[in-house]
This record gives sequence, C-alpha cells and structure tokens, in this order.
Amino acid sequence: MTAAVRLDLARALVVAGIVLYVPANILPVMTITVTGDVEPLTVLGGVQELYDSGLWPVAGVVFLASIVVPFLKLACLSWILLLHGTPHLRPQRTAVYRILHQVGTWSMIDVFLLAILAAVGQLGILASVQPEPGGLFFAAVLLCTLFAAEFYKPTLIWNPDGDPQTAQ
Amino acid sequence: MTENSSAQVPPSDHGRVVKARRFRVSLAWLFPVLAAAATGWLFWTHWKERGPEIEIEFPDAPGIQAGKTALFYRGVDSGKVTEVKLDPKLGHVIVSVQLKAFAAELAREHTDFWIDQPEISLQQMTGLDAIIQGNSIQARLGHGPFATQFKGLAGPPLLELDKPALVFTLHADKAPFVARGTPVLHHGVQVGSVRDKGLEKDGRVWLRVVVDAEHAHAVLDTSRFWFVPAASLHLSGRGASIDLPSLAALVDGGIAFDSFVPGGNPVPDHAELPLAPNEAAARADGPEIQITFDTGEGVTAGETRICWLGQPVGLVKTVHLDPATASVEATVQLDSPFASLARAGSIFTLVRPSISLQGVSGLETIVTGPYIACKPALDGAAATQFAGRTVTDEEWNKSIAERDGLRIVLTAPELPTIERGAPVYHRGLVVGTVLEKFLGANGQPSLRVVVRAEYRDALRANSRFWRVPATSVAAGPGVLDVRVSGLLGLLQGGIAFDVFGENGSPAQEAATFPLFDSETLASAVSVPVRIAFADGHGLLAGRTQLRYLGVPVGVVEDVQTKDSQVTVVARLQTGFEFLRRAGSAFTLVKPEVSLQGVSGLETLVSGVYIDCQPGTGPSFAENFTGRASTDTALLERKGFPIHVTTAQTAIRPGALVTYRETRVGEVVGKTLAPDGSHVILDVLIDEEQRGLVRQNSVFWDASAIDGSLGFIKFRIHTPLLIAAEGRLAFSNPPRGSAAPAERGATFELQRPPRF
Repeated sequence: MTAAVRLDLARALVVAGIVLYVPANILPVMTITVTGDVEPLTVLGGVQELYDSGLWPVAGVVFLASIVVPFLKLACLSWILLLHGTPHLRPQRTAVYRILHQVGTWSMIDVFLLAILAAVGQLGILASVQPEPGGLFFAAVLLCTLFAAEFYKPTLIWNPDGDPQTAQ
Repeated sequence: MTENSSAQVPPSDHGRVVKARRFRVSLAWLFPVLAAAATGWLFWTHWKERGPEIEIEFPDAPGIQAGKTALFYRGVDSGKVTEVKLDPKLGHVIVSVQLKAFAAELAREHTDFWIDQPEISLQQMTGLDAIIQGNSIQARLGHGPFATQFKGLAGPPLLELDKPALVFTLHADKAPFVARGTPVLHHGVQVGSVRDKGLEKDGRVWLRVVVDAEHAHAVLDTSRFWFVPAASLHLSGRGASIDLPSLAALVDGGIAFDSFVPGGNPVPDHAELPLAPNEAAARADGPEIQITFDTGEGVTAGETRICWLGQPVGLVKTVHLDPATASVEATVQLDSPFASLARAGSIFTLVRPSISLQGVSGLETIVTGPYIACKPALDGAAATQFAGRTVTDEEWNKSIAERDGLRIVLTAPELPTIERGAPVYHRGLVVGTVLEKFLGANGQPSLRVVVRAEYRDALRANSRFWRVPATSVAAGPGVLDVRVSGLLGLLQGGIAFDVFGENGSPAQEAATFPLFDSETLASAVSVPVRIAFADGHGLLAGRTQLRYLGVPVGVVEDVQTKDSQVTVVARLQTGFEFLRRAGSAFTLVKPEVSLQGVSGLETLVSGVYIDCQPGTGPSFAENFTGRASTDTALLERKGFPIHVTTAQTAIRPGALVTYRETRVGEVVGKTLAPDGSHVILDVLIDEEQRGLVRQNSVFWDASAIDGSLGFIKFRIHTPLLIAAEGRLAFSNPPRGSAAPAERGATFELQRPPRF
C-alpha cells in the first residue's frame, strides 16, 4: 500500500466520520424501556439523563468518552491530515497521533457497552434495552476514526511520500 | 514514488496521470459518499414517516408526557406527543401530537381523541397496558375534512372503533352495581355492554348501552330490560338453588333483556327504553291496578308477586301508606297477557303463612314470602281499584258473615275453657263464634256470641245452648264412646245449640240465653219433677240420668237434702212428659253384685241412674217418692203375691223361691208381724207359675242342704255357699192337690218334707 493510498483512505474515512458524526449524535443510540416507560436515548440525551439523575461524574465520563473524544479524534485527524506534506509542527503532530492511537484502543468501549446492554438488558416487560440506528452510526464514526488513524502512519508526517514498510 | 515521478513527467503525459489519480481518488472517497447516503436516507425516511402535527385540547391530561406518550389507533402506535402545555387561561391542556405518515388520515375533523387510563374494577380491567406503558391517547377515526385542532373527549367514547352497533338509553330508578362494561345479556349471551351511566335531572339513572351490530336484531320494541343480580339464591319447596347468570356478571350482575310477547319491531338507534329492577318487574308491563289492604305486612314493592293459579302474573310496584284511611295501597302491575285479570269483582288476597288450629295455610310463603293471590271474576268490566283481603277466603267470608250475624249473650254460673274464638255448633255445623268472654252486670260470666247471618234462622227464642266439652267419654255396657269435638274443640271446646221441641220465634238481637253444662241438661226442658229418696247415694246434679226402658229421658238438675231425705229435681226431655203422670215410679238403680247375680253393672261406669216407670194417673204430678231398688227387674215383674210366716228364718228379700229345684219366684220382702210374734216373708211367684201354689203347698227353708252319708245324716246351712239371702222352696203333697191358692194367701214355713 502506497503512501498516497493510505493518505487517500485516511482522508476519505475522516470525511465519512465527520458526515456520520451528525446522525450518530442526533439519532437515539438505544431505547431503554423500564416498566413501560419508553425512553429513546441519544448519546447527549444519555449524558443529560445521567446528569439529571445526579450522577454527574459518570455523566462527565460518558460525555468525554462518547462525545468529546470522538469529536477530538475527528478534529485531530483532520488537523494532522490537513497539515500533511507541510513541514509545520511535525513533532506536535506526532505527539497528537500517538495520543490518538493510545485513546483509540478504548474508543469502541461505548459500542461494546451498548452491545452488552442490549444483550443483557432483556427483562421482558419490565425492562429492555433496544439498540437504535444511532448506535450503528456511532460505531461507524469510531470505526472511521480508528481506520483513518491506522491507515495514516506517523512516518508519513515526517516523510509524506514514503512508505515505511515498502521502503524498508 | 509515483507522486514524485508524476511531478516530473512531461506535459504530454499529464492527461493520463490525471486520469489515473482521479480513478484512485474516487475509490477511497466511496466511504464518505456512502456515509452521506446512509445519513441522507435515514433523514429522508424519518421525514417521510412524519405525518401532520395536530393539537388536541383535553380538560386534563394525566400521565401525558411530551416525547413519550404515544397515540394509538386500533392498537397501533400512530403518533407521538411532542408537546404538552396549558392554554393561556389554564382552562385546558393542549397536547401536540406528531402523527405518523400512515396515520395522517386520523387528522379528520370528527376524529375523537381520548386519554386511555387504566381502569380496574371488580367488573373488569381495562387499559391494563396503560399501567405498564403509561397512559396513552386513543383515537377513533372520524369523517370530514382534514384538521389540526381537536377537542379531546373526557372519557372513552361509546364505541371505541367505528364499528356499526345499536346504541340506546335505558332509564331506571336506580342502577347499583352497574358500571361501564357491565354486560348486557340476551338468553344468557352477552350481546353488548353498558358504556356510560349518569343521572338525569329528575334523579333517575340513564345507562347508555351499546349492542353489537350482529345482535342488534335481538333488541325489539317489545323487549323488556331488567337487572340480573350477580348471584341469586332461590329457595323453594324443591330445595335451594344458587343462580349465577354468568361469570362476567358474577361480581356486578348485568342487564338482561327478552321479549315476553311475540312480535315486535327492531328498535331505532338512540331509543329510550325502561329498565326494570328484576325479571318479575320486567314481565309486569301490563296495566297498573291499585289494591288496598288493611295491613301491608309482608307486601314489598318490587318483590311481592301477584299469583293466579299459583303462577306469578304480576308484581307490586309501589306500596303507598295512606294515613287518612290507615290502609296500604299497593300499586300492582300485571303482566300484559294477564291484564284481563283486573276485572270488577276480582278478588286479591294477601297470602301469608298461617298456622292455627283450623289448619296450616300459606306455608310456602315462609320461604317465598307473601304473595297476592288473584281470583279473577269471570266477567266484569275492567277495573283498577280493588279492596284486597289479608285473610283467606274462608275467614273473609266468615268475618263478613259475622259482621252481619246475630249477636247474643250466653250466661252460665261458670265458664271454664271456653275462650274467644271458640266455635258455636248447630247440629255439627260451625255457625258462629264466641266473640268475647266477660263478666256480666250481675257478676255472671257471660259470653258474647255471634251466629253468622246465614244461620241466624237456626237460632230461635227457645233454643238451648250447652257446652261441648273438648272431649267426652260416654261408657255403657259394651259401649265406649269417645267424642272429640274436632281439633279446635279438643283444646278449648265449644258451644252448641239446638231447639228441643217446636221451633219458637226467631231469636232477637242481643237476647240472653242460659248456657247448660251438657246437652242432656239442655235438652231436658220439661217442668221440674221432684223425687224424694231415702238415700241419695251416687246422685249427681246435672249428671245422673232419668231412664225409661233404659233410654235416657231426662236429667237430675239439682239434688237437695231436706228433712233427712234427698230430693232430686229432675227435668224430662221433650216427648217424655207422660213420665210425670201421677203414679209414676222412680227407682234409683245402683250396681249390685251378689251370688244371685249381678245387676246394674253398667252403673259402675255410668253412675247411678233413676229408672222411670210411667204412672197411669190422669194428671201430672210434681212430687214423687222414689224407691231404692237393687233389682229393677223385680220391680217390673208382675207376680202372684203370697206370704210365708215363720217364727224366725235367715231368708231375706231377694231369696229365690224354688219348686222342684226350679226358680219360680222370689222373696221380695221380710217384715216382722205387728206383734212381733213371727216373721212374714213377702213372696212373689212368677205369674205363669202361679198354678203351682196350692192351698196345701208346703214351704220350707232350703237354705240348708240335708244329706246322708250312710246312717249319718247331716245338714249344711248354705247361706255362705249359695246365697246370702237364703232360699225358699215349696212342693205339693204327692197325693191329691188342693185347689189353687188365692192371691195373698199365707203359708206356714215347715220343716222340709222327706221324699
């Protein structure tokens, strides 16, 4: 895989991620039904719910993990990709990339949690958790950022045209 | 590398490179295009699903939440509440609902919306899903142009879906236990239900009933509706049965209807029909009549039935107490087929349980409750006002008869056991009643007695009254007569009267009669006869009878003791006046037991009596001298009297006189000669044997038995063996009889001859 292909894939995935980020946050991620109370929850709605329940530390964590982090990932990736080929701020870009990569390991935890909830939270008429399309979009956003980060190697920051693997 | 080389390619090569780049770029950029397409599709479908947004105005909106509460039509989620707010005047709740696209048709002008709340009653549970899901908004599709503003219903509509059905209104005085959902049954099949109930201005209850279209034909204008109790307990002579009309009605009961007359037309929609409290009331749809009773005991509005031939034909609708006349007026509604029972002259009798000595009646009403028995007149104009009876026909007739009857007063020295209500008999018929027992002005116990109108002719001025004892036992030889004067008489006895002799003039109202202790006393109507006895042993006033040839002909009325003798005042019955003639003989007959025989044995049981022998005197006498006799046969015998004299003898009156060991007469008297020198035996020889007594007849004392055993002769006196009186024997000399003895001849008692 050439550097150009990687760059293109990364760019396309980031754009797709940005596009998907909108419905991922607008559409409900899941529907929680507790004793007949049907509650379609968006990611932001979930945070709101948690905050309203007084669980503001949890709300903060979820807010960070599910909204801020994906947003920052997209923003950072966009920034790195925009500066691709230019000599500016190369060490910073590399540092940001490393952080992104590290955080990326945990980025699917929301989706994982949703999957667990949907699987476990089937208590019949009393309570049920139903995954909604928003979750799919959310997962797609995360996948896009993950793969974008994966395709774009940090060597490309320093060597925009080179393919580290093929070069060696 | 490629990038680098492309930058250095000559301009002639430029186009190819660009083409290659463009191809590569478009492949990678498929991701964002796909993402955009997916997003776009999602939003587009979402937008496509949106129907019109409507606003519904509710008086209140419990449990309605924006973003959560759904609108259901036919159970399908058809929209979502987006906003709940109050109108500016806080008078209503305005609920905005975002309909789904497929439910856009619901936004029609006449569509009904209501809030479905869980309703849990014993009758049924509705809106159970609302408990779990929360309240929801329900819709029923209407017609008309599209609209966005609606006025919601306060409660569920009669028909939740626009199914065709028959809707009508029932009116009842009260409707306990009827609620929304109460089943409407026809022949036990639920054909509809009560959808709503409310009060009218006049306080009556209306019930809106919806009957399924498929059963609407069962509702006719002749149908009668009534409440079915949840469970009813029937008690009858056949036992008890519990009637549970249906499980659904078990708790609340239901409403049933049926037509009791053939024919009828279907009722129109929104008809107004009456609702009866029970089936009997529903059947009673004929004319109303008023029956007035002097007591309303047991008459219950809505329960008491009218029965004809034992079958119910109507029902008491209302019971009205009239203070002015102190009577109870029952308004009765007859079943229409039996309207003709209400004719002038029909008799309505309140039947209640009655247990008396006369009998037991209306026993079934102990269980079933009193009812009104109808005895219709055969013809007569239709009538609506009747005077009801509260007693049986028999008693009614009796009371009517007694009202018009003849009232008289009976007096007696004492009046045991006879009480108010005791019967008055005339020749075995009950003709009257004792009305009252009171102490008369002169301190005499008195009875006021009424003789019924139809028997008043039987009561004459010379009628004689006597007490009929509860039980009487008359005993005579071979006869034991136990008389029980009916069940009633058994306990309290009664009074009887009759005329002995010629009928007198009719008795007058309020006349006073004496009351005799017994029929014998009452029937002895002659002038009193006074008979003097030396010994009054066994004589009882009012009890001892006078008999002629063994037949009772009178009774001793009084026994007086005067001048060391007993005087009996007796009266004779009609037809036996001849016994009062001068010369009549009265003999006191007592039981006698001796070796000669037993006599007057019947008097052991019946007591002594006075035997009468009519005299032949030309006129009636009042005073007689009675005789005490041991043997009435002796008195009656016509004999041939002779006398036998002896110095002394053990022979006493009653001794037999024998001739050749054959009885031919009797010693009837034993007297001492005036100078005391000898004893004279009066002997009566049977008339047919008188020829045996000759002038030379030899009489001897046969009380002793002479016998010889070989050469030893002995003599045994036999009084103890044979007869206390002894025995007198006679014979004639074997050779040549003398002429027959004369009446009253005297013979000397001699030694027994040797044969």
